[in-house]
Amino acid sequence: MTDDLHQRAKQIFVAASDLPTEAREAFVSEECAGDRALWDEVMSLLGYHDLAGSASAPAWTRARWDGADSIGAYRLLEKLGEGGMGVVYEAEQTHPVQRRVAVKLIKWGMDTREVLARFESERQALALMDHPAIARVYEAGATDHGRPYFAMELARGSPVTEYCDAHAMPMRDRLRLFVEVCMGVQHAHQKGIIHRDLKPSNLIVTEQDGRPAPKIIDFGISRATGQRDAEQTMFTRLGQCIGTPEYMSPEQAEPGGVDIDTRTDVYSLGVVLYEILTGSIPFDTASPRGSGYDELRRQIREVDPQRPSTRVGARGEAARIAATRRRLDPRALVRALRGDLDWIVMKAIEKDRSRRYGSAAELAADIERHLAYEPVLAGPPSTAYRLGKLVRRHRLGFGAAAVVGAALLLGMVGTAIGLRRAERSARAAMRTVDALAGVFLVMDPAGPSGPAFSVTSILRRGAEQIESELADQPELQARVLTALGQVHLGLGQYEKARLLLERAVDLQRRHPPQAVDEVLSTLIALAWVNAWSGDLDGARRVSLEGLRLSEEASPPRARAQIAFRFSLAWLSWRSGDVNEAQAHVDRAAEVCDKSISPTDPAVADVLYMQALLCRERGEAEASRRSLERCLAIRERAYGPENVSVAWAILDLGFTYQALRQRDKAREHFERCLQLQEKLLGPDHPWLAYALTQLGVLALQDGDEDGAFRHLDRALRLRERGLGPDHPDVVWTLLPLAELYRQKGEFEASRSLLERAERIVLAAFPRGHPDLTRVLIRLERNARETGRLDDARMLLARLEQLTRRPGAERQPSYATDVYNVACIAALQGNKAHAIELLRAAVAAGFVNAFVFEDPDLASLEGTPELAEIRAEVRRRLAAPRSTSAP
Amino acid sequence: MGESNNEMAASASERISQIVSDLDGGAEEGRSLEDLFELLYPELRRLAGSFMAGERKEHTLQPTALVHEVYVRLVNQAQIGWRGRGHFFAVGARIMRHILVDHARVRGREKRGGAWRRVTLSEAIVPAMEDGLEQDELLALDQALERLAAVDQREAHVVELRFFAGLTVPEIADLVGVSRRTVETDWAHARAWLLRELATGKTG
Repeated sequence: MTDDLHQRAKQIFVAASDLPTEAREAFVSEECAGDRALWDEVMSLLGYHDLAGSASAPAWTRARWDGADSIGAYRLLEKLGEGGMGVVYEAEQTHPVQRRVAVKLIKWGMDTREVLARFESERQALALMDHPAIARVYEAGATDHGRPYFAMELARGSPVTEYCDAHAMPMRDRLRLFVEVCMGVQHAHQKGIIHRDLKPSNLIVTEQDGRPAPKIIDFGISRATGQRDAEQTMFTRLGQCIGTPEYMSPEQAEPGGVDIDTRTDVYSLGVVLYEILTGSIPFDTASPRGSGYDELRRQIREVDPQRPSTRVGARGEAARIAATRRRLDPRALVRALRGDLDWIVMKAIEKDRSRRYGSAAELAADIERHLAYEPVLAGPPSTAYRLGKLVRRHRLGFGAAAVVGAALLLGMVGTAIGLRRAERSARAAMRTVDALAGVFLVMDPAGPSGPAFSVTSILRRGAEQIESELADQPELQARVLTALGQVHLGLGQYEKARLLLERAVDLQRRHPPQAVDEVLSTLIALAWVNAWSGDLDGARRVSLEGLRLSEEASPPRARAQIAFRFSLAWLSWRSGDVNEAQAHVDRAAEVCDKSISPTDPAVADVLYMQALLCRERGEAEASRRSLERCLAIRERAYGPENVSVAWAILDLGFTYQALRQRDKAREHFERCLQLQEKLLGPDHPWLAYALTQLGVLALQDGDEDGAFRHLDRALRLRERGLGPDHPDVVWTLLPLAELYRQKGEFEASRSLLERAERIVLAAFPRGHPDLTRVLIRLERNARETGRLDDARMLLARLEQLTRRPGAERQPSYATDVYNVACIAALQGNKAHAIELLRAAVAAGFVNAFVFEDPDLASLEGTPELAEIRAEVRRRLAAPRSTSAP
Repeated sequence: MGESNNEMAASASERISQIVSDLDGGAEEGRSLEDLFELLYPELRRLAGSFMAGERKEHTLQPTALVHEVYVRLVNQAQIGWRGRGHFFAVGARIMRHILVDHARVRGREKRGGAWRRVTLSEAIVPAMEDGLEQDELLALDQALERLAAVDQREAHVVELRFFAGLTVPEIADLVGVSRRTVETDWAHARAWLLRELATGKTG
């Protein structure tokens, strides 16, 4: 073939492949204008083009371009820049909102899992940052290649130093702009986030309505990527430097242990301010990078930098340029810097962080004093230094402060500890954490390591301090541990919550508190922690112990009884035993009737559980009524924006789905999702319920892309939040498998189903309705891919499940048997199918479906089927013998 | 990794950095590219070997990431522009292709007891795909790619960068100096073309 033919064929091929299949041939014929060889070539390529990507083509043709034109939900548009850590693209997000974002693709060579885990540890706190000067980080993830990426708010503009120079901004305007930056940093610090890598290229100035507006980017990212550490390794190994050490604080430049707090950011801000004001950084970087790195680090640690005014005075020609860019002459620039600004900058970049400004807000406040011609706090450093020493010498004894802190904490959390399902919203939890952070700061204003601001480290330190400081007060210690455990439960950090709560339980066993209620608080929280982390047996054990204690107490604790009955009912339901669940709910209802007001939220919990069980039995209308009542009670008790309210809305969605009112169902799932996202943040595993159902609805609408987006996100949330083997993961795997089936990707579908099977078998060794659901789908997969032996074996396994002890007492029994009958019919095993159909009807399968079920096609026309249908008709006509109360 | 290894890497690194930097500055390509190939080959071979022997954890490093890792480690990136980068990745992709094809040949000869772990080959080619690529399939693909290069050099280059260096569309577009759309259409065409070659069972 000639190159010319190849190229012409390619052109036509490319244009034709965009057309609908039926329009292609005419187009190609016209383009080829009678050239038979060309026509043959193009049409043959188009044939293979259609084949590529299908199930029968080699796998490499189906492979997606990893992070190619899109990463996750982001379509990459234009490269914005490349830094030490990776490449930044402008990208378009299509879901859940349509917007432009920046996607930072991290360089190869980092441990993705570690990066994401580190990011994860700050994620909840990051979600709470909301400030115009902070570019939000929306999401962290990994491409299919396992390369980490971050999606964040798009900030188009230039680094603050460049922006100031390009606009020849006068000194006062520069200072005002810088104050806005400080306020953004302060906001982050209040949320417990330290930036760690503040530098001009992370301080982007955008323009809004013609005004400069700073945006701080990369919050949370430098910690996640551990960039400083990476830099150092890289440096020692290769004798080269890749990052930007100039803005690094002395404590970061210290070899070995990196001990970081908010004052680290204050330092970096000081260096940026130095540069904004003088046009150069405080250290001499004249020597080439390669050999200058160690030297620069030494300078950062050891050399006292020149004051800004001195440095400008010494820079000759460079000073003249710097002055012009500030609309001054060099001498006026020196005068402007001397005094206030010299002191402010030098205080910010003190080597000893206890002599720096305590916060970005203090730095900003001093600059504002300067702008208002008031005396600044910064001055010759000795005063502050001596004062600091004095304060440290006479510091409040730590033990006393710890008790004060614990008391404060209990005041906030103690009464709020409801004996209900742990539904404290993340925001409420975070408020507690914020307060707790304040407590620990009060306790230790200038301790040896300084206040560590990250939420997790505060909680960890809190737990450690509780352990050591409250050792002689086990009861108080257990209460605080319980409170901390509940905070972690609310944040979805089940492992940490479990550790804290188990310690509390242990303490309470050894030192029983005066009031049994304290033990009950701990136990109910522990029960839910176990339930959420997939340990249903553990949850049941703890709930039974709690139930016993609340019944034996004098007087018996009604609310606690309801709470433990509720958890037990939920656990039974989750394990597939609807009857046992009903028994617990009935007992809870009795307690309610006796001693609880009908508008009490505890009643709503009982209604919720009743609704769940009604739905299982096919009484969808009764389920809907109970849920509406539950929702009304909860809304009145907690207000509309509450996690419990969201659960009720979610279940209403499920119930509408059962009622086949798809629009209503969708409306409720969307409402639930919106509410949960608002309360719990975008990454909480609970969001997966509504997401999965939205995926199912999209799938039923034939919207495969929509379905994939929802299901994919749901799966990720569950895998990340609950673990890859959590039984809830199955609920997303099933619709995902169906999606692949509809796309004709049977192998993928099968592998998802097999994974679901493994999870169910491991989680519920004694059997579970989910196993039936999985096997039914696996059987269909086997049949559809022609693996008839496998299909027969699966049918046998399904039959066996319907015969396992107790199966006939479950409400789904009749339907299960009917489904197995259908499978037998589909496999052509007529006699067997008839036998099973009779068993199903005998067990109470009375559904008009049997008259038109296409699965029974192979039995059409047989007298046996006609007889069975007649029986169903008789029963349908007869008055209902059982009806819900 | 021992100290001596580091030193070796450092000296190779200096030379590689220098060549890439020269290429970036517009140095004559022929000789420099050969030198780069010579220096890079043992480096990639060693990394690939340790990976395929199962010495490295998979989540840390995917095989197509090898070229990237070597780039990050050995080249002083701050000073290198797109031209140097392009040459580096082009050579890296070519080497990876050699290594993988060699490996497939060796595996083909010793069906049992091959020195390297088998499973990694599939992941090595196209990490995003679910099923493996058999050795025979890889060899056939390699030959088909050779034939494609004879009629459409750039298209074959695009496929090579994608398969063996794991680059993304925007990255390839940058390196090859074409639009993203062109990279995508090249890929679509190459896919159909290669598939036909393999299906009709042509042998080189």
